[in-house]
Amino acid sequence: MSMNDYDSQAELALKAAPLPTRKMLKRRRNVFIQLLRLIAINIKMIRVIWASHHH
Amino acid sequence: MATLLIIGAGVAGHTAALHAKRELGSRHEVVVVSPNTRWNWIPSNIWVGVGKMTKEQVTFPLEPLYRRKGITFHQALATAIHPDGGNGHDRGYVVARSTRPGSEGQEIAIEYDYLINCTGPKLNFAATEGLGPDGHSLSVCTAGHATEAAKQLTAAIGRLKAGENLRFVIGVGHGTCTCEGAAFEYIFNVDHVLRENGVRDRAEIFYLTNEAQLGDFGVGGLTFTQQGYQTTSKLWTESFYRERNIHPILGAHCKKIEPGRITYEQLDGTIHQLHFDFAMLLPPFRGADLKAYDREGNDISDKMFNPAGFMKVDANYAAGSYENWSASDWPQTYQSPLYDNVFAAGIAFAPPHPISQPRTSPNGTLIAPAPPRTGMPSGMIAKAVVLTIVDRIRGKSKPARHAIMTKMGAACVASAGMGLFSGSAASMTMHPIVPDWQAYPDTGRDLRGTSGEIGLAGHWMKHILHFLFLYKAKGHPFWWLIPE
Repeated sequence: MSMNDYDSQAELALKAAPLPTRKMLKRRRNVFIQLLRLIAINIKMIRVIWASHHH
Repeated sequence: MATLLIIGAGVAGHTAALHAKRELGSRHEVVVVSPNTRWNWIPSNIWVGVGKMTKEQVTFPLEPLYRRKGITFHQALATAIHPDGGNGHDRGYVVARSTRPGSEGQEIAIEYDYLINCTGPKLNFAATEGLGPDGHSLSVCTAGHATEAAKQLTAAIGRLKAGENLRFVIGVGHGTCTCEGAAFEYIFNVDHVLRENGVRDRAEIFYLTNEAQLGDFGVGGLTFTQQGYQTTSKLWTESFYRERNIHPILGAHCKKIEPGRITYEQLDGTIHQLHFDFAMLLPPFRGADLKAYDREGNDISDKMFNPAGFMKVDANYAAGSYENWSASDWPQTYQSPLYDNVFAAGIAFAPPHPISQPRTSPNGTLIAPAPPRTGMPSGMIAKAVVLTIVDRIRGKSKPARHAIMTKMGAACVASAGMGLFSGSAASMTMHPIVPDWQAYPDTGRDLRGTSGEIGLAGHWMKHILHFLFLYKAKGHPFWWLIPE
């Protein structure tokens, strides 16, 4: 039985994962951009709902 | 006059009851049997679990609403279905045991012309020794569990503020759990709350999951486009966890939870122990403890239900191994193959197989996320089933309505924080839920309907959905305009 707390393979994969840039972090919090994203997500969800109900 | 009996008043059962009454009016009877007196918008339990909402904000009493709508409500636990009738009943009937204070334990028999089984899951904490609020870990599956989790989280934050270093383990408590998305959302919220309190640097957070890779979410992972490139939910989730310094443990099956210690097995067959100060581990689901009997009183439960207690419907349960699975295995009408007036909707129906590839450790332990079918699919399936029944009651010779998980989409928004500008969310949409490799040979899904992004927009969306779905569930004017 191992007492090693970390999943070494998962930790390795995590180290290779990209981190968001400062620009991306700002974009996630920018109210104007996020309002546009809200509209975009809504359109996407409406499309998904429409396709689900009318297949 | 026809009687439609609905067992359960969760997302599927309540959606079915509201639509059925709206369609059938007072000429036919809609009856709901549920042991619970309150409806719970379960996705918002996550916020209750971190103390951002109260139990009262995510639940409301069912009986006054049903009285207003003309729906008959029995506060009782259904225990047996007699689809052939018998015992003095000409029609099929359901036996239920009252849970109403004052008449607890009294049995009633309710006859029906049409039956929808919407019992939802039985939270199977017993599958893992020591799992759950009666054991040594927490849960957010019910509003009550989430309230307790919030209390424990507040206490842990107090200890962190006093200078202690603590370990938080959040994830799933068995190799066959579903709803990894809920664990993902809870870990996101705990991380957010710890940062708000300025104690994140004293906390070590682990994500313990049965997924073979991050971003699987029990749906085999997603591929979506982002800024002109195709990316995967694996990379997206890994990035998310790296950014928040969360340690994943993948392909894990919890064997035992003891005070402050989890014993788990991984896909390579190795056994590990993980110490914790705070653990929220979701349980696996089973079907409700419902039995079925024929006219002569013979037990036909194994014909109507699968071994896990979920009701068999029009799915292909003989698909065999992963290589043979196809989109056509999934049910279309949710009608029982034995009785054409009996249906199952939401978690109560038996899926033909998982969506993610199942894996077994060298010790023979099955570690395979079960397919999620909560929320949006539950509501859509319930509505389709109701419309089929309404057609039949009205004598229309239309084919049964379809709600197929290989054609149906879903959205999953994991939102943390309550402030208009201080929250964040990870939003995912997928279409379809179950990949259809024939229709979409490249990725199994429609890239136009499949997405993943992080930001304030999803946070706003989640709050809008919370209020919209509660508005709909409360049957306020024009509730039916809000889609499932």
